[in-house]
Amino acid sequence: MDDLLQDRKMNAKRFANHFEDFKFDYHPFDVQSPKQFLITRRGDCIDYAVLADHVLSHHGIPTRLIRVEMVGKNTGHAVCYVTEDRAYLDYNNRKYFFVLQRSGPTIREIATTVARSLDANWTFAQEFSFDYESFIKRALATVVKTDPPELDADKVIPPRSKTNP
Amino acid sequence: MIAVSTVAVRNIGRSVDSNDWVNHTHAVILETEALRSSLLVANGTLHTYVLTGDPRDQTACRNALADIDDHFQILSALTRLAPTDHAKVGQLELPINRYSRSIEELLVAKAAGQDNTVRTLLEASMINNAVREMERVIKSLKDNQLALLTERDTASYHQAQTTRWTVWTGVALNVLLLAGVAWLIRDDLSARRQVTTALEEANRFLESRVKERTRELGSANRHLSTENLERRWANHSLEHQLRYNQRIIDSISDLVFVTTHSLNISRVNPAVLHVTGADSTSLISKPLKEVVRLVVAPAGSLSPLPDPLKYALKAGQDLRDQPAEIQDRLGQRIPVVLSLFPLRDNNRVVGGIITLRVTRPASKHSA
Amino acid sequence: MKKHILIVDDEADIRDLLNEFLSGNDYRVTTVGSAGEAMLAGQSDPPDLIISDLQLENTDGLEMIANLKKAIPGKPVILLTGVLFDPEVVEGVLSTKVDSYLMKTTPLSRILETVRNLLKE
Repeated sequence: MDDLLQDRKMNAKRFANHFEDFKFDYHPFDVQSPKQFLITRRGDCIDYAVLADHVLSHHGIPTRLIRVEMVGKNTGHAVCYVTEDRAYLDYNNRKYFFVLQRSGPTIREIATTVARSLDANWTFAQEFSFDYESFIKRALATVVKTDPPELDADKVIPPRSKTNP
Repeated sequence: MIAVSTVAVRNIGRSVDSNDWVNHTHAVILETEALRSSLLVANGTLHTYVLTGDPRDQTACRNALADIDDHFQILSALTRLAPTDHAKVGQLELPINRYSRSIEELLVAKAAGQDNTVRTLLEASMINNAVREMERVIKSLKDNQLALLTERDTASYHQAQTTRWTVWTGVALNVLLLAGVAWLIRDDLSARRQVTTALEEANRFLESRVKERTRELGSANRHLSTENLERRWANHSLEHQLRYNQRIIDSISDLVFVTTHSLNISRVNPAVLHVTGADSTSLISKPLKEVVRLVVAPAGSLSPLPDPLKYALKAGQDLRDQPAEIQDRLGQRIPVVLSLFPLRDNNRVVGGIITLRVTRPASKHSA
Repeated sequence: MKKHILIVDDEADIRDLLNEFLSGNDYRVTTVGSAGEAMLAGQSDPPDLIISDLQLENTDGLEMIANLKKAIPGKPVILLTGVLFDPEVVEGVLSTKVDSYLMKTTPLSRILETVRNLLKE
């Protein structure tokens, strides 16, 4: 964790390179502690996205946490959107060369890209925040697929950028 | 085709939309169930914490409360544009808040070791009423969604049917169009084949005409070649004959003069040049009488004729063996015997041939 | 196989013209300019027919023909000449020594006809 937080050259791709060998271990929307995640080298999409959000924003890189619900039970996926790269970090892409998936900045665009990558339909998506002190997810904006795009919540809320907590 | 394509694409779009609505309804149902589950988890972890006092159970309870709020927010978002459902979800807000506050009080009291407060809060109907209220609303919401699901699924099915019919109609129209095009192409092909056949026939005709013409030209060419050869042969033969005749004449020892009708010398043989010592240029075009002269009048004539040679030529008669004289270049007279024969061309007298036989040899001259 | 004709004439133009004409009519032609050459050619490559001039340089054509007939008997001979003879002379003398007598002024077509008749074509 210290390595990640103290790396002066940290960026999204550099962050992703640390997780090439990590395994997938599913905990439906429970977030592991970063220590447990990094030691066991096992986790799921939300563990990865939340840690990316924490580390990159520590280095002053604006990020957003986006959760996308697909059709069916417990078929959600979480990603960390890196605003200046106009792309998101996805745990499913950790082994590939192209770890960053390009996408427009709106929640709807991110949800559509995520769903397409999983060959699925999405029903709703949420921008949320998470901190390792409270371990509580807080919804910031929710976008429903069947709603007209002009009524999407994130059209009103500007993209969030965090500084060091 | 464009109309069918447009309708098909629109129907496919509508199919996707109706499918999205079915998925949306499922999502609402799932969230209501998730909310109910979170409620049960919150209740469960609360009672566990009350019993154990374990901070982990407290955290689990708080997480469950957070989940309840999360699911409520999601349900609120999902039903935002469905006023009836949204109103129902709105009915959950108050009981959720009351429930959350009560639970929080309990957790704080338990953490503070205030067991009496804990017992009082547990026995109070606030929590149970809140839970019952939430469960009622959740059930009503879920039932409504299930009914909607049936409706939307039927609508989706009908849309899929419409799309299917549109696509099949499009396919049928396309098949008809293709058949029509194939028919037109067949006609076109048939016409092209006819044209090709006609062209081939015309081509064959042209070829045969060309062959015929080539044969004719070949034959004409051979004919011309043969004619050419014949002409060359004839010319050569004539030249050959002329040379022969010329040699024969040139070898005659008698003097031979060829004259015009007016008795001017036009040609002499080598014997003339030899005997007279003159050259041919000095004799040609000269009147014969300047070189040759009859001595006596021709036999049988009643009176001497002024020019017996001219008379004989004009009359077209021969004159044979007449004594005459020829004068050489030195003026010496040489006695000869003269004969005259009219030179005829197509029965017309065009000149004369005068032959002289020397009777007394004269002194030799160099020619 | 093409029939072979031997042409004997001391004039090159005559030889060339006859060669061109008879070759064009599908005969194989050999041309010679003297009696000596004719004897050599006749014995080495016997012709099917001989066309000869009467007056050859240094030789009597009839004498040459008599010698050739001895060397290669049974071959028809056409005498082709520019010298005019009386018909009685032709009938009486020449007809015993040659198979045909033609003037050089005779058209080539007539010469060809005579050749074909003598070769029985």
